[in-house]
Amino acid sequence: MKRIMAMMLTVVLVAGTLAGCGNSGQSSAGTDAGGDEAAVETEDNEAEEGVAENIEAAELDTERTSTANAEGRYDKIAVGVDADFEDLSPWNASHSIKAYIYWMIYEPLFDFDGYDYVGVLAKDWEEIDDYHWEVHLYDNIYDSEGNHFTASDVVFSHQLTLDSGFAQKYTMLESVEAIDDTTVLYTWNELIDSVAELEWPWTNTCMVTEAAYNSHNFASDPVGTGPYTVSEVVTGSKVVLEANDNYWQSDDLIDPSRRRNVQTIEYDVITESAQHVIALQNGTIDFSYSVPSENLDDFMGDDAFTVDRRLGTSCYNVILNRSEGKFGNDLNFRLACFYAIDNEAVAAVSDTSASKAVGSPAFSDYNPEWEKIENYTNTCDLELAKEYLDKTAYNGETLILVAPNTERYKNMATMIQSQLLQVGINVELSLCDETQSNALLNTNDYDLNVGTFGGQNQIAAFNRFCNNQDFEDGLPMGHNPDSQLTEIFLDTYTIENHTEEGMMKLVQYMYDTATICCLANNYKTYVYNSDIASVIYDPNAQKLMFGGFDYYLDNAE
Amino acid sequence: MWKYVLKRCLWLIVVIIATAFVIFTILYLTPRDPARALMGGLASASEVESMRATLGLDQPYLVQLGQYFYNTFIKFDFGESWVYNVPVYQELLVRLPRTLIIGLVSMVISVAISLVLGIFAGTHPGRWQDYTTMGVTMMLISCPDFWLALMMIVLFSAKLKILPAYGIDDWKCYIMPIICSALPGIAVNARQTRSSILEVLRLDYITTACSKGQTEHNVVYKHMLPNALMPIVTHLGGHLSRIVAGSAIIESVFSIPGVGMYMLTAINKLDYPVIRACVLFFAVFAAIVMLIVDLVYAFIDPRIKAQYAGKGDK
Repeated sequence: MKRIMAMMLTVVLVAGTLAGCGNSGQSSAGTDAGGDEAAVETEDNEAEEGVAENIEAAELDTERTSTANAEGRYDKIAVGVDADFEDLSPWNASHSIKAYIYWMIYEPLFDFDGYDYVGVLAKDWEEIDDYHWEVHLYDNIYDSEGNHFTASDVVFSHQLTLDSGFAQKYTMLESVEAIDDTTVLYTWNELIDSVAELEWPWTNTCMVTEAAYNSHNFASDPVGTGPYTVSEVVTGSKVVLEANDNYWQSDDLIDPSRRRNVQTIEYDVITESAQHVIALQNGTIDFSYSVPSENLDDFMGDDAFTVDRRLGTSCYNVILNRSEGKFGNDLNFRLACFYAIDNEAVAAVSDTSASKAVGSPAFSDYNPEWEKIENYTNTCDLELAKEYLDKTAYNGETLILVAPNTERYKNMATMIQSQLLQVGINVELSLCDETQSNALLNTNDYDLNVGTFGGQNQIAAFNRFCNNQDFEDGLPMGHNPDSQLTEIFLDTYTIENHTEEGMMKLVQYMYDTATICCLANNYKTYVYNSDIASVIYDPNAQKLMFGGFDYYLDNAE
Repeated sequence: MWKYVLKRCLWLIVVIIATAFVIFTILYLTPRDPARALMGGLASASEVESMRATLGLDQPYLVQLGQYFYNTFIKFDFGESWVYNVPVYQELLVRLPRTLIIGLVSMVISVAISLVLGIFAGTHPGRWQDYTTMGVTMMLISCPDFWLALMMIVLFSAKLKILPAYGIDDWKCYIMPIICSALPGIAVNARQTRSSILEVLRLDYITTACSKGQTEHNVVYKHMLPNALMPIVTHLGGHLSRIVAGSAIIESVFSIPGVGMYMLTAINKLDYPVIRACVLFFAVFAAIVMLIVDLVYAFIDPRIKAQYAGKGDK
């Protein structure tokens, strides 16, 4: 009897253990919010065959009728988010998940379309001289509490951001001054070669009225000029927005992303990615960007859901340390490494899309013509790699490859390690926390680095690799001493030369000098129910504007 | 007796100060830079340095420690969260009830069921009641609580759709977290209870009680249980502390914004004021629970009460 009981218990225990062992690691597909390297990173399994490619926004089905509420809006959308919004204060707006909510509440002076600024609170801007620019505001801007937004509030907002300690890339700003209610004078302390330099002060700074800020705790009760207002906050659990009935924008001028097509937007914090699947299937949420890639099949083919998979603006890449004495300083060695890397294989183990050219197709100033240039990004040639390697002084030494210690990076780094070994380059992996990994780039303690880059647009994303102004040693990423690259970059960064021709020249030079090897681009996968007809996503600013979505106001079923 | 309690309360202060010192020092020596974590990877070195100055991280160790001790123990100010930008105590007050509800209710359920099971098994040693009970507890101990949580979500939320899978909108949201917290405790406490009962079962006074014709109910509940309770109470005290301090796992699975999640987020974001405050809270909670356990000893066993009174008088 005892033995039988023991056997039964053993069987039950083993069965229980095996049942509890599912897929290795939690996964979600491409949750990078914000184009910066500090974007939220999630773990992924191998890419599945047959996952939906990018789809175009569905055309509205005219047979579906409307049961809009009194304001002509869809009633409510519940969005599942995988992390808490922390605080709702008007700074650090591009940090991680905040991009999904901030721009529903607040507005910047301008949006950036990849090449130029499009006015939001500002009508236009004017260069008085090289160091003085004027911004002209609309005169009918009011926040949700009815406070008139004027030029002095622009000054206040900039000062608020500076005082918060979160102001980034404000170094060019000498002062900002209100000339009158609708005119703001910016004084720069350096020449502004490219409008893209102003992305932080002009597009990433939330504008608020001083009156509202002094009477509210913005961390949990923000007041903005945006199309939505915050009606409820349960820290760590949910944030609820309501359409701003006093929104100042007139219907004829309003940007489609700032429409108020839905009355209520509820963001539910669901930290466990598997729960997003259940929440979608139960109808508890209507939209999620955190569905694990292995669960996408549950939704594809189901008419009740749409799986929208598109490329993001994060580009995974590998660079070599080009300091004196390092092998990366030798062009032949760099080419040997880059030609040995097979992008497709790297993308396959990391659930990303293999790069065909430097950069991300999601950027509006990315040119598909770059993919036609034959180079190491779209070519894996081991024999050519060995030829280049033979021209170098490399003698089998072990090199250090540094990468963040997340699942995706680990898979990428391991694949690169094995590919380099095929041509005779020995690499040892050094995986560490992402913050530490970034800090190591300022040292000489690495030979290769796998990282990611992004930005407001493609040219801004190249800044770290081409510009010698952002690192402690005065050299771009990888200790790149190539001053000609910096010169070409800065020239392309100007208003006049930020053109297809200018970008082509820069990209060609980057290929010729093996500046960087782009591996893959992230996916952004959205799963939403069939009541949502189309999604508005701004790749340049990483904004998801739920109010601007098109909705079927009456479910055909 | 009251002198003993007072002495324990004074020791509590020493424990709190020591805990504060240790956690402060550990965080100070942590290699990661909170300012860099807050600013993100693209911020320049000067911007990060500016943030460090704003946060007071550029001060020497002793200055920072002194400021921390002064704010915490003199002004009773835990500071403001670097991530949430709200006072830490304010956020703790909001989140504490959620964590305590799960912890205390699961504790009550755990105690009630585990005592019954443990007594049931202990009073029938070597028989099917014992084997069955221990088999079930063995299974529950072997299952990780996060796996239990996910399986319950799949069953009750996804398949049966009778319970919500996450959140705190409704009282039903607490059912699964409470059960998931209680189940491992039931298993462990039941085994502990059985073990204690078995120890007492063989003692002479139990045999005497049975010989005197006492009913089984009286023997178990008036004679055995009070003497078997001592190790059980000790175990329960530690268990309660672990449930509350380890709530991060259950809160993370069920997306419940409690103290555990608060601390977990703070650790990920290097939000030092929150980490310090949460660790202090858990230390105080554990210390108070242990004090209560010691007082319960006195309530259960008059000999210990006399011992406390004797020590107190000295």
